[in-house]
Amino acid sequence: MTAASSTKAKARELKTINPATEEVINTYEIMTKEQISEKAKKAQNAFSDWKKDIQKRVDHIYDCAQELRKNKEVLARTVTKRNGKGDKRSQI
Amino acid sequence: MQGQSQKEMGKVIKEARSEVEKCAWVMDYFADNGKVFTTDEVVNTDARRSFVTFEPLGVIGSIMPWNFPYWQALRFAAPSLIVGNTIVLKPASATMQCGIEIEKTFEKAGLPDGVFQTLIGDSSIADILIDSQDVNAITFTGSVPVGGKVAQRATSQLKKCVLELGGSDPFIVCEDANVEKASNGAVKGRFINCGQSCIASKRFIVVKKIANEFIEKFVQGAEKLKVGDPLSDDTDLGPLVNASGLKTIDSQVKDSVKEGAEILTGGEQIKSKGYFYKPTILKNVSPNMRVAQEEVFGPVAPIIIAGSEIEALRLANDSQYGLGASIWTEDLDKAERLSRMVRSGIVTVNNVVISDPRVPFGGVKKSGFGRELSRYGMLEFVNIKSVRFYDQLVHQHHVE
Repeated sequence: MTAASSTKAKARELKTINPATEEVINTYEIMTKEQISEKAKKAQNAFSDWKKDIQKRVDHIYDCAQELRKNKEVLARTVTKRNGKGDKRSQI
Repeated sequence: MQGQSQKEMGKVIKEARSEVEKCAWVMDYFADNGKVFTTDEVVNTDARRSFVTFEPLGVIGSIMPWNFPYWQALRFAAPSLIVGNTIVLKPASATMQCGIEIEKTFEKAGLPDGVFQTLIGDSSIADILIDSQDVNAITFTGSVPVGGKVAQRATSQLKKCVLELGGSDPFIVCEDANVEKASNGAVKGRFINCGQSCIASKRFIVVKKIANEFIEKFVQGAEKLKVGDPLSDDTDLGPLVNASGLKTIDSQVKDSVKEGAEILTGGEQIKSKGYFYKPTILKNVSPNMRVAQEEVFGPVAPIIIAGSEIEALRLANDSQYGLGASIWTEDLDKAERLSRMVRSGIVTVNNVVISDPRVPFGGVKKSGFGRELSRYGMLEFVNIKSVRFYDQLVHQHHVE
């Protein structure tokens, strides 16, 4: 039964649409229940180390902030295509 | 994927860039302040030593919407990661790639494996995430009906949740307001992100004495906005997110017009490919119309005239929502008085409501519960643990 539902779930897809053109941007295969449970388990395993040292966490988060800035163009272009944001407005 | 994306985009996109910059800011802010926010608190009691300590809860399932796909995910993630939780994100289907890009970006930054992960799927996978025995708590940003279901499912399993739901923020223009400032603020506050923001100004409540002047300037401002290709530098408003969003906006306007609302500008979709709707301002709106009752998630501004400031306040509070509110007046005593009387989680005087890592963000009534951002947001997903060391058995009273 698990295998059957798994196969069925694997067949499921979602499409993203460019709202400015109504064209399909991408198609994704929806994760199965097993895949999601695995991710949650992995997060729980990661938690035991991650919670230990705040200084390490702080350093990692600064690195993530830097990486966001470095990737700004790619990230910005991805979101614009997805939800059709206008260019000029700067507040959130 | 990225190459294709760049080829199709071509040029600079200021709004989306600003969102990414704000995400970097929120990460820096909590990295700067996280330690101070979660330092043990010493308390004086009858014990030898008493303190309160803040411990992470574990894995937080994060279910996020499409309208600010980076910001909404990261304004929650930044404090939660700093405090020591790990995160599994379920992005909105419409902005799936944005969720994937966050995970990829953090991976490139060297974040340990498993600390931040993104799921791929539509709304059907949310329940699996909530139900997972490895997920300890849930944060949800989205609509009221879905928020109710998420809360029910999470709390039935005794999992804490924070809900950031819809808003129908009042924009109160008092009779002594600076009309220039207020009308510019109205354009900014209503049409941000094509009106698709939970804290966009959604009900314009204007005191009669100043109404004509305000409306004239507001309409002028709205008519200057350029709707079109979101990739073009001079575009102010892009399309709505999908066909269903467009249909809802159109029917909210049409129903209100049937009941007597008057279109001052816009009021129709743009006949072209894409889900475009003209910036719209409606007057003669009464509080029972759909545009005043429901959350209007698009570029439509309903104006309600109030006889007095007290009536304006009553109309502002006459909503199922209580997220943000803005008040426009030059009298700071009045601003102080009114800001304490508005039933909302956020009030801004003489500016539009915006989120800021330094101040709490969240609502009351059907806008949800719990807070994001600031120290208050950071403490939502922690175990606030009380510890006391005694020298001997002390008997104080007979209550638990």
